[in-house]
Amino acid sequence: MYIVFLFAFIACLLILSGRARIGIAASLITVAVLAGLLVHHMTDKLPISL
Amino acid sequence: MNFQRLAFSLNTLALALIAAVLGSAFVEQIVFGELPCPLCLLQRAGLIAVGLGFLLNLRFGIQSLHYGVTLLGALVGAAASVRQILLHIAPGDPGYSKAIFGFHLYTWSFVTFVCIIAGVAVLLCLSSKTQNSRPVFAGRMTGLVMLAFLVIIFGNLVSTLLECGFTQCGDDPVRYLWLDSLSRTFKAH
Repeated sequence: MYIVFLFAFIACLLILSGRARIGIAASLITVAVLAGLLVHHMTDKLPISL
Repeated sequence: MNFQRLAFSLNTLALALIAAVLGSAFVEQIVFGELPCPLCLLQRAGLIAVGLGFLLNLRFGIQSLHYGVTLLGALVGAAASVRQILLHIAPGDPGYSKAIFGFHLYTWSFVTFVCIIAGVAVLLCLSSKTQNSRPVFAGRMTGLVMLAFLVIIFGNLVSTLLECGFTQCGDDPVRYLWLDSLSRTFKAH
């Protein structure tokens, strides 16, 4: 579960340091990781243990 | 006050409210010792994803792309809330944690995400003429809100690592995995 907060923290740091494009990309990756973790929580089918 | 300035103020207010909600969740966790469940953590992460969109607006100017990040975060957060509501919807189920004003926190979380989606939709309708506006109104308060948001995300990262470590979080957590391991190590020595 820590992984989503790690991506969010990296995205926040990138945004605050003024890197727009990579900040947006990191934000979208954060949302994707969040959605993946939710699917994993509902199905227990993804091969991860985060 | 022109609309650009109003939209910037509303984005600042939204980010401040998100930081306040996440901060109060932290207070509940630390003061009352109520550890967040996996779905609670996902809802926190959803709020953070929403906040990232507002942060992008405050840092780089208001753009529909940034509102898109907010909407996606709110949708996933709402899905996590609905999942938890449905888990406790059976008659006689006491629900997870305590209720506030008659609703559990995950129900309030769902209401919050729906309000965010509605609010952003209104802002998108109104801001079509102010796209790509530069953040010329950034002040000390906005900077403080941004900093508070960063600290809250870092706090959640550390807290989640202490609670679950690098593994999957337990369904009904009652102790911090890493803190317990540390205390056992010190007691062994």
